[in-house]
Amino acid sequence: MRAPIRILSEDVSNKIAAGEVIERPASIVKELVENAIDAGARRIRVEVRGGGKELIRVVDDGSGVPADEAHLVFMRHATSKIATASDLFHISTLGFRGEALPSIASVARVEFLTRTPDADDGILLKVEGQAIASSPCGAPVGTQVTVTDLFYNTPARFKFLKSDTTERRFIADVLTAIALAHPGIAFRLVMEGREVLNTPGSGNLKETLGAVYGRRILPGLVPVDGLAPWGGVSGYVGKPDLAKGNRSAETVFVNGRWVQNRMLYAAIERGYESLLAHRRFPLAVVHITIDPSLVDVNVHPAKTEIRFRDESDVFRTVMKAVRSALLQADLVSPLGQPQGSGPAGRPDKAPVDDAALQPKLAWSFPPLGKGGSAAKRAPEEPSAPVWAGEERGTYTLRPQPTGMADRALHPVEAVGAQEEEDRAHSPGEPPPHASLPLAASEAERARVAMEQGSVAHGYDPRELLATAEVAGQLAATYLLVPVPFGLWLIDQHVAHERVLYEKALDRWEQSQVVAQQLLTPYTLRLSPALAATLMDHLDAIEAMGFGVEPFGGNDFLLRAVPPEVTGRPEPVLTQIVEELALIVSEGGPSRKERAAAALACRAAIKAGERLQPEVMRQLIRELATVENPYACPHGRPIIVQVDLKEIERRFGRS
Amino acid sequence: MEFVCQREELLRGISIVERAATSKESMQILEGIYIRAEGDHLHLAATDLELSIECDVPATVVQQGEAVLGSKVLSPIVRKLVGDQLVYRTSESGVAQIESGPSHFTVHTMVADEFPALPEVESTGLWRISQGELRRLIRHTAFAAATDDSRPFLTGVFVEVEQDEIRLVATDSSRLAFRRGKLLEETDRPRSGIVPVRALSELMRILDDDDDAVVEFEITESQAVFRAAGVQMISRVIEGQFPDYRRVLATDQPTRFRLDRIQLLAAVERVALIARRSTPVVRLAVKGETLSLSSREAEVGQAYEELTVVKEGEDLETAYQARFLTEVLRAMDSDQVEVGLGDGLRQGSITPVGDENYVYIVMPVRVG
Ligand SMILES: Nc1ncnc2c1ncn2[C@@H]1O[C@H](COP(=O)(O)OP(=O)(O)OP(=O)(O)O)[C@@H](O)[C@H]1O
Ligand SMILES: [Mg+2]
Repeated sequence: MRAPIRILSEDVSNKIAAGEVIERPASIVKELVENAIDAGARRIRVEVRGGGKELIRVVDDGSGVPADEAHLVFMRHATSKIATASDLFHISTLGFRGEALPSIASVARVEFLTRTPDADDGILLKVEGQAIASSPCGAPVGTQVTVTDLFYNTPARFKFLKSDTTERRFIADVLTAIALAHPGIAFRLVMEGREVLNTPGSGNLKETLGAVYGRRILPGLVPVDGLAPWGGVSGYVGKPDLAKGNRSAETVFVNGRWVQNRMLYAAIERGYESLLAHRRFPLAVVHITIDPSLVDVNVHPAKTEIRFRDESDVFRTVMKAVRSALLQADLVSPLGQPQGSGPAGRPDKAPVDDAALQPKLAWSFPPLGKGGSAAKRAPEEPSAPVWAGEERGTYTLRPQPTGMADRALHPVEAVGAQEEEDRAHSPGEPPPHASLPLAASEAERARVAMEQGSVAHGYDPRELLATAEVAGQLAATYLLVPVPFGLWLIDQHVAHERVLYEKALDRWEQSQVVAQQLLTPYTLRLSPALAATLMDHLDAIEAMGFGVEPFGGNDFLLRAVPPEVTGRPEPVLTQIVEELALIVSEGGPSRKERAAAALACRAAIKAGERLQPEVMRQLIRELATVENPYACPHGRPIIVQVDLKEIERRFGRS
Repeated sequence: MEFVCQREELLRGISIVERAATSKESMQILEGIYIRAEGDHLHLAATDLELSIECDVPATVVQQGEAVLGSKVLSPIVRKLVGDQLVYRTSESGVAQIESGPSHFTVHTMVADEFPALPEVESTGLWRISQGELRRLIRHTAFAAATDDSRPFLTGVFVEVEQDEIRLVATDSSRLAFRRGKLLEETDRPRSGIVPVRALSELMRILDDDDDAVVEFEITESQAVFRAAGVQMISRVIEGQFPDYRRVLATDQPTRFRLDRIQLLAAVERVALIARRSTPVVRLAVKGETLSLSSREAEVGQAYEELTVVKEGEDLETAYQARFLTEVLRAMDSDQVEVGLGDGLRQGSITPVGDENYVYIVMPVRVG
């Protein structure tokens, strides 16, 4: 019994389209904020309640919509952004389909309040289903869109939404990405009454990164800069110690549009080569500028996917730029920078904004919303640092001339390398991410060079650790290790944590179980929820080397432990189970990483523990064998370096 | 206070007690060495509140009194002075004058009143043991104690005294060392306590080479007291219930073999070399009269070695952490050892051949 073909009513087709564009509250935020950006806003405020299901409000100070065009805003395929099909190949706005607002309005109640600069009055549109009511209304210049009762008319879709917490995370992710794409715009996100994000909008990417991830990451940022005939690559990558267990801090933009593209992630990660431990992902914000005619963004309604004409070329350029940036960076956390220029042969050029942005300088951002000087500032102009007097006396607080910027901040000239690379690869080769894009010897050379460059003194840190002696222990927490070019401070807990973490992961990877049996078992009582988690992950827990036996109710007998666990084992296992309980379906570190990190954290030597000289020696020898001696599984630095040059300078010897 | 003494004797006293002094910033007075001059001697003392060491040094006391001097100051001075005799004098203002040979030092002292009261010995009658016996008891057991603080009661050695027998037991819950020894006289009632390993290793330093010299000691509810060679050491005992070691000792192994101790030690050390990153684990397999030891590490390679043994019982295979074998084999004295292997995941044992008083129990690792 076949039904006759019908043309769908507008309501139905809107809802179908909405299904593609509006998956969840975060999609609404994305569409509304992109509209605000397209409207030239300098300040955008987003307010969210009930995980976005209850209310989403986006307020901008952009151009607004003239009252006589307002009725078109909610019509499908009505857009002010393109006019002809050929425009599709030169899209410079974020929106172009004329689909977002009608889609949103078909699944939620929407109020659209807008005023252009030259109109005296604004106009308020209230949309509910097919009905649109409009009335004149006083309003500031710009647009305010309020979306309430999401999916009120499509209960089936509502059911697919995740918990408020999860939806909030999606929203924060989306807005973070957008804020990083637009450092010239000040973004503020308030969820359930709490401010979650506040970027200065000064036009400075590094400053924006600091606002997003916290200022402590600033010293760990390395600028990326690469050129190609079709455009270029810029942005920042984090030193390996800022790496995370998932890709959540890898953000890529193509022509200002946030994209989630595996090839681009792979290119960035390949740029780190061996600097990242297995299953660690870098902090990176990479902007790709490319001739719009060489990409196709119209492959998916949500526009986060993208296609390149020449994938392999983009891959190589991104990878090379990341790699050469890291090659130049000093990867041991520096403590104070030597005066004078960097090592010979190093370009001493630093972009102006970087010079102004010495990582540890104390400064304040101009306040937002007070007739905003930040809002009016030209996007490319860096904000001037404001010295905070009380911090003046601290160690690194001295202004440095442009040419003496942090070595880690030197930009990288990718041009020469690029040409060499181009010669090595004829067109028509398979896409580079399918196979290692460098010849084996070249890859090896790059790896070696990177490790050498990592301390910027021509020494491999691991080799140093393998031979160095520990001069002493500071505050029962830091090992003092003299090296030829200064002094290393090694955090004993974090170092040991890294050693244990890699040991545990190693064994896991080689599916090698080593379970030290105990003379008398320990008993362990867990909460019902944790007991269930333990049973769910019993295989993994046994693979780590624990011997666990259910003992009735929520009690367990602990008969064996991994050899690293030399202390009381119950808290270690409890922490692992707690960590495993956090696993949710969406991403995050894998189960073994979580478990290994929890084990390492609990079993490692504690800070404040006085250590025997043999123990300290053993520790740095073991650290010499790890893949990543720079950061613990949680990203805290292991080694902090005090440069001999800096010491000499302070003694007035330079 | 004013006294004259032999510099060497004072130095000996200082180096014995200074080990109990701490460098905790929180209580500066604990860095000090307490000196009291009275009668014909000096009484020296230092403490970190857990452990105190006191000793007497002969001296001619001109004027009795007391003083506390920083150990970091006093010790190097007395060590470096050249005269045979040392003259010490404290003025009213608390400044000490130290003279010896051509040198003259003026040093500040700390306020003696602030020095914590030393623990009183709450003794009901001390037990007596020979130094040699006590030293062996400690050497054979203390290494097996736990080193981390998460289970305080395992960071000490359990000492048990009953009639004329003394037993020391230490365990970190993966292995256990047990040794039995003899007291010089019988005691009237059994007593036990957990003595910190640190106190025992300090005691080892204090004991001299004379195996027959006598140590007087006692373990009470709250403290362990040791007296030897004019030195008194008092340590806090660790609270807590020590695990029941008798149950652990009771089991037997289906496979036993004998071999040279040093040979076995060397073989385990060699085979363990292959483990570069991981915790070294050695597999033991006895087949007929052959013991094979092996170890492997994925990215390094493997090691294999065979030894001839005298075996009783079945062929068996098991694995242990190398450390748990080497530590005990190094601590032992006998030429030959007997190794017992448990089947499945049951405990193994190592005992010296010809010495029934020592048993070491070790749990295997499951390798998969
Ligand atoms: N915040 C805003 N400020 C000014 N104009 C706006 C704003 N939001 C929407 N508009 C106007 O409404 C039109 C429709 O917006 P809508 O988001 O539905 O489509 P679009 O942005 O053109 O394309 P896309 O569907 O790809 O987002 C836009 O083209 C724009 O002219
Ligand atoms: Mg839009």
